[in-house]
Amino acid sequence: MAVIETVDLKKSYHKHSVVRGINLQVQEGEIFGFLGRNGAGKTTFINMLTGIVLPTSGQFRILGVSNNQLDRVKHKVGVLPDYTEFYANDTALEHLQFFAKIQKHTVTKQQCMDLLEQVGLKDAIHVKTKKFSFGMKKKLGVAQAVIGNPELIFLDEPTSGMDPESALEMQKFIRTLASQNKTIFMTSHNLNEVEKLCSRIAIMKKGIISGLGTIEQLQKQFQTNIETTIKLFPKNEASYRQARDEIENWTSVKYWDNHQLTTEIRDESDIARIVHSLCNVDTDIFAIQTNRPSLEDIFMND
Amino acid sequence: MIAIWKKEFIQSFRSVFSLITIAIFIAVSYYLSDFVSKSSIITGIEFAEAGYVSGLVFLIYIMGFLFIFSLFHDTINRETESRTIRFLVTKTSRPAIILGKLLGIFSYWFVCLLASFSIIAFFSHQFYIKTFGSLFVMLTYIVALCVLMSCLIPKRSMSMFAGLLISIAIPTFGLWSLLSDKLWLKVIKYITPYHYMLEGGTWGWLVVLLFAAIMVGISILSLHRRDL
Ligand SMILES: Nc1ncnc2c1ncn2[C@@H]1O[C@H](COP(=O)(O)OP(=O)(O)O)[C@@H](O)[C@H]1O
Ligand SMILES: [Mg+2]
Repeated sequence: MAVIETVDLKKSYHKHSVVRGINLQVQEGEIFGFLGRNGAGKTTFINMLTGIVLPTSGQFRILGVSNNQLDRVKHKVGVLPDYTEFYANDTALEHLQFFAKIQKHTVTKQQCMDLLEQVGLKDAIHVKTKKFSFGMKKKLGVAQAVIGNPELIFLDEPTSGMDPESALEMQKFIRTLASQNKTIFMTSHNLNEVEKLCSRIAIMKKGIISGLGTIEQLQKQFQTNIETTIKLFPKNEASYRQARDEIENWTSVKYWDNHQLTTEIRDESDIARIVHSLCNVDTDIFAIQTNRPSLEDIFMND
Repeated sequence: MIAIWKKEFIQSFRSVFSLITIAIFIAVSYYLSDFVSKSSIITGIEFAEAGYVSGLVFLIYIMGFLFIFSLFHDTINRETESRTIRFLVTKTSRPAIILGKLLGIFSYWFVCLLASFSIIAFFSHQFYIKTFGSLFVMLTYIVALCVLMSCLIPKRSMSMFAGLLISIAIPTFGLWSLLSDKLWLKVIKYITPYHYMLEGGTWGWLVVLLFAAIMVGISILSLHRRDL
C-alpha cells in the first residue's frame, strides 16, 4: 500500500509558485529522501502533507486517508517541522508527556525518558527548553515526532544545524526507526546523508521533482558521460594510433598523446572494451581513472 | 483537546499577573463580605445579596475585559508566533486546539469565581448561584471575544494593544448606550452584552451566550483555512 500518495500537488504564495505539481508515491517501510537546495520547496511540500499549510490545488492521501480528512490519521503520524521552537518554561520531559497526551497515546514517564536518552538528551530531561541549543531542540523535535510509536514519520532536515557527532547519532537513530518497519519521509540538502540512509530519493528543484529513484538509478539517469583517463605507454606508436582511431569510432576522445588517452564513455563496461583494444596493439597500461560527476554535482546544477 | 485544556489551565496560574488577579477577586470578596455581614444587621437581609456580590459584579462588568484580555490576549497568537502551533496541528485537529484553549481559560475563571463565591458563602451562609451563573455568562462572552481576537490578530503586541482598547471601549460605550438614544450607541447597545444582561429580562443571558457561540464559531473558521 502507498503510505503517501500525492496527485498534482501545488502550493503558491501570492501567485509565487513554490510547489508546482508533485506526483509521488511512497511505499510502506521506505526511508524516502527528499533532496534539494534551500528554497526548493521541500518544507512547503512536507507542511502540506502534515496539515500545517493548505495546498493551493491537488490532492494527497496519507495512510489511505484523503487530505480533507487528515485529522483521522494524525495519531499515527509523527512530524518534525522545519523550524522548532518549544514552550520555553517546560522541560524536555514535560514536552514529550504533553505531546503524547494530545494524540491520546498512553506513554509512561519511563518511556519518555528512554526516548530522550535515545536521541541524546539524557542530561537534559529535566532542563527547561529555553536553555536548549539549536541542536538540542532538533533532538527534542525528533523525539516528539517519534513518541507514541507512529507508523509514518516526517522529518524535515533532521540533522541540519547539529554537530557532526550528533548528526551521526541521529542517522543511526533514524536507521533504528526504519528497522522497526516505520515509513520515514525525510528532507535534506545533504546528499551524503540521503545516500547513506534512504532507499529511494526524489530530487527537488524549484518546486518540481527532477529525479526519482534509488541512488543507482539516479546516477544512471543523470550521468550520461564518465570521463576516463588511461595512463599508458605504447610499444608501437603506429598501431597505437590505429587503436585510438578505432576507439574514437565509438566514443569521443577528448585528449590523447603518447602517455595518456582521455575519453568520455557512457557506461563503465565500456572501459573493458577500450583496454582490450589497447592491449591488442601491445600498449602497456599503468592506470585507469574514471571521473563520474557526483550526485552532488547533478543536483547542484540547474 | 483535553491535554490542551489541562495545559492552558495550569499555564494560566503560572504568571504573576494571574495570581494577582485571583488575589484581587478573593480580597474584594473577603473584605466586602466582612463589611456587609457586619452592616447587614442595619440595612436588612433583603439587600444583603446585592451588597455581597456588588464587588464581583463591578470587577467583571467593568474590569472583566481588562483582566481577561491582559491575561489571555495571546492565547492563540503566541503559539502561531512561536510556531509551537505546528506541533499541535500535526497531532490534533484545529477546532480541538481552540476548544482546548477555551476550556482552559473557562476553567481558570470558574475556579476564580468559585473561590470568590465560596468566601461570600462563608460569610452569608448562602451560595448565590444565580449571580454566579450570570457573571459566568458575562465571562463567557469576554473570553470568547478574547480568543477570537487572538485568532484574528497575528501579532501579540497588536492583540495586547487591541485588547486594551476593547477593555476601555466596550464597558464605556456599552454602559453609556443604555442611557442614550443616539443611533450609533443603539447599535453598540445591541452588540455588547450589557443590555441583555441588565435589561434583557429572564432570557437575556441566552442572547449573550449565543454571541459567545458565534464568536467561537468564527474563531474555529478563521483557524480552519489558514497556513500555520
Ligand atoms: N509563508 C510563505 N510565504 C511566502 N513565501 C514562502 C512562504 N514559505 C515559503 N516560501 C517560499 O517558498 C520557497 C520554498 O521554501 P521552502 O519550502 O522552505 O524550501 P526548502 O525547504 O526546500 O528550503 C522559498 O522561496 C520561500 O521563500
Ligand atoms: Mg526547508
